[in-house]
This record gives sequence, structure tokens and C-alpha cells, in this order.
Amino acid sequence: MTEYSIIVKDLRKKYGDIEALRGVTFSVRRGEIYGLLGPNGAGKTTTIHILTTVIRPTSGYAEVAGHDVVKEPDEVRKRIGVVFQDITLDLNLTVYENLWLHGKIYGIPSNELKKRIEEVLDLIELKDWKNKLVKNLSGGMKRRVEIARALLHRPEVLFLDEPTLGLDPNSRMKIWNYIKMLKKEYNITILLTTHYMEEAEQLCDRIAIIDRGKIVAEGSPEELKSIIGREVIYVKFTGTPPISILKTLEHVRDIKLIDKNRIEITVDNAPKALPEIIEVFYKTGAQIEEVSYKRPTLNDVFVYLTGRELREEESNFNEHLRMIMRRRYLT
Amino acid sequence: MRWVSVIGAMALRQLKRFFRARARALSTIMMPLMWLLLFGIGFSTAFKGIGFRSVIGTSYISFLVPGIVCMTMFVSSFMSGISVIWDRQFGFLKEVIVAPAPRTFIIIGRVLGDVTTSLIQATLIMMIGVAIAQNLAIYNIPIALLYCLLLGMIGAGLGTMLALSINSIEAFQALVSFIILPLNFISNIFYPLNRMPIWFKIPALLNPITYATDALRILLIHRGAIGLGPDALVLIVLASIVLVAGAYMFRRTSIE
Repeated sequence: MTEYSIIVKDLRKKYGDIEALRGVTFSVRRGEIYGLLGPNGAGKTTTIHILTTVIRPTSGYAEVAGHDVVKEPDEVRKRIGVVFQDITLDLNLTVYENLWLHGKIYGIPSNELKKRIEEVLDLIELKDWKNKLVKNLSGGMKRRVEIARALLHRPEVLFLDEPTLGLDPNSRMKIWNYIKMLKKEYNITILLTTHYMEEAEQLCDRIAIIDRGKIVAEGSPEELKSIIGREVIYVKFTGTPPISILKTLEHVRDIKLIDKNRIEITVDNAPKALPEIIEVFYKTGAQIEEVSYKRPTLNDVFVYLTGRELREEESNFNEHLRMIMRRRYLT
Repeated sequence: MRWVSVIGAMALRQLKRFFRARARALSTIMMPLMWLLLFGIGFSTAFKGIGFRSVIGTSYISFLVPGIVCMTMFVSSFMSGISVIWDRQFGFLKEVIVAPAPRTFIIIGRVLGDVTTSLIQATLIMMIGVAIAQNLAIYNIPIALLYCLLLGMIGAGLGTMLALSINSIEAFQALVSFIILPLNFISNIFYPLNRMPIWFKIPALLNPITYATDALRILLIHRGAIGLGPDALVLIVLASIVLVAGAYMFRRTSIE
């Protein structure tokens, strides 16, 4: 038993002239939730596909649950659960039948399988739906069934490719809760990809920011935000601001007057800096009317590192397009 | 014994899907039924007494029933095999690809399920045929169904291979009608081969449907051109080749 469930070294994948992955390296510890955060086309899904043995890398090394994904794909397959970005359920079977079929293919004995199906249905709260055809389920429910199915054979590592893509906020919260519960109760290792920064921030112990086939930064959400480091405090006041004294404070990095009664103070530790700042204002007799402060988001980190946004609008359009296409074929 | 459970589960999946998609099942059985009822009865009534009997030795409708049974078997199993393309389109194929089960068992299970559903349809057409034609050798039906089984394996295997080798849904729809119709006509389903010119006979003899139909004619109306032994041999060899090749393709398939 090594400390790491996933080890990836200099992974590369070429499609013709296009390099989808340009040397990706990272490791995921046992029991950790690790996120790949990046815009569409960054290489997240390609990475997942290689790690789940769906495609082969052009070069580089990847190991999942102690086995080489290229040399021992079957050993890897036994130990992983996968929820792909697109629904991979059989829409013309019921929830129960989908789970049953999966269990049979994974070689779970019949009586054990029955027990486990009830167990996972309980987990995703879909017991009442077990005899409904999957095609009649909402998008969020389908996703939940897929998570249940991926857990049925008790994998060591769970892969979730954009687990809440295209879901409404309510369903998204539900899925987040399941993922948190999985970590707490099963201590399973989870690798998830997302281009929603709140998702990465809410769920992940560590995040790799990936862009154009390369990891540009890695760390806990806090660590990543500290790359930018600075938090900004806004103070609205009446009277004369004590600028010269503020400048001497330990955590203050920069001060800017926005207009004659608002000031922007850049600090590197807002919780510590705030009381000091308030005290300075109080002592010098300037009146504070409002205080607010802004912490950097992962999106700010992404912009800082790549000079671009996570491009939510564009991806929403693609999602929309895909949903239309799917609906057309399904009905 | 894990492979039994994999094969069984995949076969059961195909059966469940078949019985659930009633509209599709009905439409696949409607086509041969129309050939049998509308074309068969119409044709034999229109040309009654002009010498059919002297050529084929029985009524045209009795001659037609074995052919239409084989047509049902082939088209239906071919179409089920080709439904792999929908698994690819709707993602279920990915679920199978990341599973640790050997893909050969997966595809064997699938083909087995497909052949079973096709056999159900062919049996139904056979029963209707027996009722209309009245002089068929009913006691030979079980053996006839064995020949159908072989033909079904060929159909399902060919369908699977075709589905795995094309990626666009548009191309596939055009291709299907382009394949199925000629295959049905360039055979002995509608006419006895011995009256046909050589340029017609050769492609017809390359068509597996011809051998199954010939066997069924021998069994059901005691008239055939090739012989039960050679028919069985050709079908068994073809089925083996198609299944091995299909399994090979399925093992190597990916979703890049």
C-alpha cells in the first residue's frame, strides 16, 4: 500500500498535430479529493480517459491504485469507479436493471449484489425510483444513479468527470453532499474535474489548475489563493484618513484612495489586518461608515496565472448545444 | 464461472430492451409480414395456374414462407447487431469499455441476446406461414430453427462489425438500407436460383441467406437446390468467421 492512489508523470497525448496533454504530472494521496480545474479543452477529460484506461497516452507514465494504466488495464479497471461526463446508463433499462447489469459485469455474486444495490440506492436516495426507466429520470437523478453504479463494486478510486455539468443548483448541491459524504464515510480517493470554481473550492482537498494541456498550479484552495496572496479591504469613512499610519501596519501592502471618502487597502492577511485598521481609524478620530473586504477567488488565480477567464459563457453555450443534440436523438 | 454471468447478463439486457421497445419490435416483424401476406398472396393469386407449380413444385406461398422466415431472421439480427452504434452514441459502450470483464464475453452475450430476439420473431413469422401455406412439414420446424440460429449469428455479427467500423449516424442509416435490400433480393428468397442467369447466381451464392433459405425449403417443403449438409457447413463456417472477427473488432474498439 503506497501513500498515493494516483501517480501521473509527464503524461502526453497527441491527436494528430494537436497536443491535448503537454506533460502533466501530479499525485493524489489515498483518501483525498483531488480536483482538476480548468476551462473546456484544457485536457481534463483526456486525463480522465487515460487514467480510466479508455485511451492510451502518447507518452508518460500513469498509475492508478498501484497499477500501470497501460500495462495492466484490467487490474486498474477492477479498482476504479467512473462517472463520465456524458450519461453512460442504458436509458431503456430501469434504475435497478442498470445497477444489476453493472454488478454482473463486475462479477459481484447475486445475493451480495442485491444487498449492495439496496445500499447504494439508499445512499443516493432513489429507492422509490428503482423500477423506473432511466430515460424518464431528470438529469440530476441520472447523475446520481451513475454515482451509485460507480460505487457498486467498491472501487478504491472514483473518477468524476464534471459531475454537475448542466445540472440545476439544487441537484448540484445534492451531488456535492454525496461526494462529501463519500469521503467521510468510505474514505475513497476521488479525482474530479470541473470548470466550476465553487465546486473545486467546496469539495477538493487539493486542486490542480490545468490549462492548454499543462498544470499551471497545484495546491489546496487556500494555497492557490495565496499565490495572489493579497486580499483587499475597502473602507468608507468621513474625515481625514490616517494613511501614513496605516502604511506602517504589519499586514498592509498597498493603499489607494478611490475617492475622497473611500480607501482601498491591500493586505496579505485580512482577518489579522482588519482589527488593526479599525483601531487606527478609531484612534485618529476618522469615522468609519462601512467596511467590506474581498478575498481572491480561484477564478482570480486562474486569470492571474493564464491571463484568461475560466470562460464560463462559452462552456455554457457548448453544454446547451450538447443538451439539444442529445434531446434530439433521445426522443 | 464468471463469464457465464457476464454473457447471461448481456443477453438478458438485449432481451429486455427488445421487449420494451414494442414499436420497434412490431416494425421489424411488420416488414416480413407484409411480404408474406401482401406480396405472397397477391403474387400467387395473380399468376395462379400459369405454371408456378411446374417450376417450384408447390404453391408460391409455400415456396415463399421459408424465404421470408430467413429474411426476418437475418434483418432482425443484423439490425440488433448494428444497435451497437447507439450504445456508442449514448455512452453505454464506455461503461462496458472500462469494465474489467473480457470484452469477448460481453459481445458474445450481446449476440446471443440478439439472436434470441430474432429467433422469437422468425418463429412468429413461421407460425403465420404455417397457417397460410398449410402444407409445410411442421415436424421439421425445430431443425429449421437451428439453421435460423446460425443465420442469426451471421447477421448479428455482421451488424456489429458494421456498427464498429462506421462513426457517423448519417452514413450508417444510408448504408443499412443499401445493404439490406440487395441482400434480400440477391438471394433465393423470392425465386428459385436454378432458373437464374449465372451473373445473378454467383452473388446469390455468396449470400448467407441463400443457404439458410435452401435448408429451410428442404426441411419444410422438401425442395431445395443445394442440400442440408453443404448448407450447414457454409453457415457454420461463415458464422465462426464473422463471430471471431466481430469479437476481435469489439476487443480493439475505443472511443477516441
